[in-house]
Amino acid sequence: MQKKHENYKELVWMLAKTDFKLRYQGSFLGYVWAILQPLLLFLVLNLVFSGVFGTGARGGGVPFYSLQLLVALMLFTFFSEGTNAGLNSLKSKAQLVTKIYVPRWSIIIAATIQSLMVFVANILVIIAFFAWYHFIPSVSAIIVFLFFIFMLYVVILSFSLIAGPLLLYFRDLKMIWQVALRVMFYLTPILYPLQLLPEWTHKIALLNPLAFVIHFAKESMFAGHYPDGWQYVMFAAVVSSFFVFSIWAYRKIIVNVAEKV
Amino acid sequence: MDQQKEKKSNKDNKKNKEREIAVKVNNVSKTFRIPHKKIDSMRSVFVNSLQKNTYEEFNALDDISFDVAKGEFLGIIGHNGAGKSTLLKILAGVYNPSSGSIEINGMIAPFLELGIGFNPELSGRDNVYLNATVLGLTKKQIDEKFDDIVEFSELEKFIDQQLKNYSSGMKARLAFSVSIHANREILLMDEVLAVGDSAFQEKCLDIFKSYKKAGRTVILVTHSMTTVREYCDRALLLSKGKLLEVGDVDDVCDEYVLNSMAEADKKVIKNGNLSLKIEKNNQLEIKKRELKEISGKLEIKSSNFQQKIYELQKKNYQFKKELNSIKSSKFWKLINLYFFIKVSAKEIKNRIIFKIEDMFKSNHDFPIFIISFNRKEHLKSIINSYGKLNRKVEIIIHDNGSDDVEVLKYLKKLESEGVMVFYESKINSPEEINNISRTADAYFKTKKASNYIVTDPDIELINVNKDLLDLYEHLLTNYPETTCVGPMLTIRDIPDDYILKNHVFDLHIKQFWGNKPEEITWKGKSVAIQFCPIDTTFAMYRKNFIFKRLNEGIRVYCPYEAHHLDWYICNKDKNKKEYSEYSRKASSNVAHWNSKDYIDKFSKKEREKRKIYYVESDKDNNIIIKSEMI
Repeated sequence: MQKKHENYKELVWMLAKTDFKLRYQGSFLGYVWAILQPLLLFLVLNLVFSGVFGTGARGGGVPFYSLQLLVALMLFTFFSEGTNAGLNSLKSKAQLVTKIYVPRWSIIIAATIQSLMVFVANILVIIAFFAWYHFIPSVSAIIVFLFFIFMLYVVILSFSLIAGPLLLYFRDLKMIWQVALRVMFYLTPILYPLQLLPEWTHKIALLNPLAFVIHFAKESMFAGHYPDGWQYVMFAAVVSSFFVFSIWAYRKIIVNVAEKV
Repeated sequence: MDQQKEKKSNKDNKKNKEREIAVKVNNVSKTFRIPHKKIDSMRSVFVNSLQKNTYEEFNALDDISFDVAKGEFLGIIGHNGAGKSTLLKILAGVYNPSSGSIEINGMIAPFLELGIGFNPELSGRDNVYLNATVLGLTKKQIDEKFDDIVEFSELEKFIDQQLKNYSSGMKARLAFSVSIHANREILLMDEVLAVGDSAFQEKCLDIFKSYKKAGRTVILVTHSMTTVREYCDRALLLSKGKLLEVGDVDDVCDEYVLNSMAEADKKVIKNGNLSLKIEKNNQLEIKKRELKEISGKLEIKSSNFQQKIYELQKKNYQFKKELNSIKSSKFWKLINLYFFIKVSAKEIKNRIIFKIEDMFKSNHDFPIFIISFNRKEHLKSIINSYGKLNRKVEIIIHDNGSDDVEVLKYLKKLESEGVMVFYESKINSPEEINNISRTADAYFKTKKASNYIVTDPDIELINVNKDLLDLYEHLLTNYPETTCVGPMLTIRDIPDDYILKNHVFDLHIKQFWGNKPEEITWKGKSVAIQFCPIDTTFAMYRKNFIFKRLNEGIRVYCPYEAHHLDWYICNKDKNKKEYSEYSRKASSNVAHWNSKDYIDKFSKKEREKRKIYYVESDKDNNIIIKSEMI
């Protein structure tokens, strides 16, 4: 058909960078302000639940509960912010959809990359806390952690490819997703260790990629316990099939999306 | 990278010697589904899951095919809702066509909106980078062009300020500047010329000219015919999603104007108010003029042409009347450009106040045409009454074949005194009454035509205010739509023993007593005027206007009421024999009062009760409009 944009990379990068810049207003204080919300949440939850699940609890408890909670919370924040950004991407950039042709996926990707950048910035906080507690994770745990981040990003992107255009059709998807996130927060082992649940639920819970990532990120770092081979395969299969499905769905939904904005 | 590609495509250009196509649109249609119930949330999906969702289809574009050559400037015109913007969005790739295909040979820069992606929180500099990236430039290219962009926008001093501190004009300038530096081969524009102050606009127009020289392809959607005529090589007219015409700019623009006329026309016809088309009326006007020219050359006796003209004028007049009734409609303004409006009494009232000064400037002779038929005493009385008016009055007598010896003697005497007398044969039908035009034409062959009043001998003006003719002339001079002016007859004076009293009563109420008059101020006095049919009583001769007795005009009454002489004469001759004698000598044998058929038919008629309006003046000459059932 027509020759279109050829430098999508720059476009995606420019959009993501601009959003990131706007978020932090280009200053250190802006960054502090942005990290304040998840940090306060962490401090409150830590205060309340370290007595329940931490080493001070009856029957042993979880070692480094605070750090575990922080890692889990940051991962969950990444997930919730990433999916929200992806969900709102097309709606908030309506002008780019209706007034010009740029591939719509570039707008969606830019939104998710922006939240990835925020997450990377938040890792600095995690490192600071690790230093405070004098805890150094093993190299293999860090590699596994990076792999998990990548996979989690794929999940976020897949969700956004479907939900971004879909929001233009169903305006209340936003509210529904907020509720779903809240439910997920309690269904994933963030506040509590997975072991607390009955044995038979573990397999089902781990089918959820978010739960899988959070559980094994904690296990690998703090207990030296890694997923089995078949568990990796299962996990990769779930994530990649979701990704493939999302591309198929995106192509279906995107055709007349400009008319819906 | 891009430069290399451009070079490549330039080489390709040279290979194709013939007209190279930049944009080709093949049978493109676009249909929008408009659901009866809008479902835009999960909630409504759930709630309406049991109902079938019905929708209507709207064809925004219907089977459009055209192409644009490289370096061509194409203007797309059409009314609102014609599908222009949809077409542009499809070309830009924002919408997908429902069917058909588009081939585009080159990079497109859509100008559907300026400053896409602009963010008020960012600085002007960041926004330039953002907007340019969205338009498809690489960072390297932006770096190179950045200074040019800022220079063109004239915003050097403000470029590092946040965009939210810019005025809307500054924003638009910056956005436009980025857009024109995007350097694409094909530009799509949606009414972007209305940007910035006039100096900046000139700059933009220069840019357009340079685009044209540089051989870029531009597709422009606009409402401005002048822009299209000035800049475009070809134009394309859309109407209701269909392609009406594509080709020469002037042809398409003319078609558009014609099309919009026809639209208005159609609407008006739909309203049921207009039966004649505007074009027809124009043709009528032309024919009228032609006929007038021809008739001027012909002998006075050949009045056939004049008859035709009269008919045309009558049609024309009816048309105007109908036009008046749609005055309040939407399309009135458009039509108003082509025709003058028949003013309402209120407007006359407003305008008359400012026109009084002009009144005293008119100083020319004032000819009075008297239609005569027998009745010597009557004629004397009329000539007397005009002689008492404070005007230079010239009397012309048009005699409809009087056979009374006394009358003929009197006419000869008047002739010897210098009064112009024209003798005609006796008339037999109402149409023939218009032979007065021969006399009028004969008279105006030697005199300069202005506005004149012709009167019937039935009216006696001797008692009226001497300013009356001033008022009449004023109305005729200043209101071309006023076809004639006459005094109000006093109905009260119809004698009780007049055979056709009831009939005459009904006739007169219908003609001029049933409508409520309006009050106007003239020369500091109140005058009541009223639009109504005027039969043969008063008519006028106007410059470039063929004389006819007309039957629509303004009546003026109180303090200018006139007497109907026939009734006085009737009053004097009470016995029946004299009635028949009178009948024989009456001024016209087609009038209602002397026809045997009429008497048989109407003399026994009962009078219906009707509401009449009449005017009285109090001691201070103030006008009081009253109504009564009689």
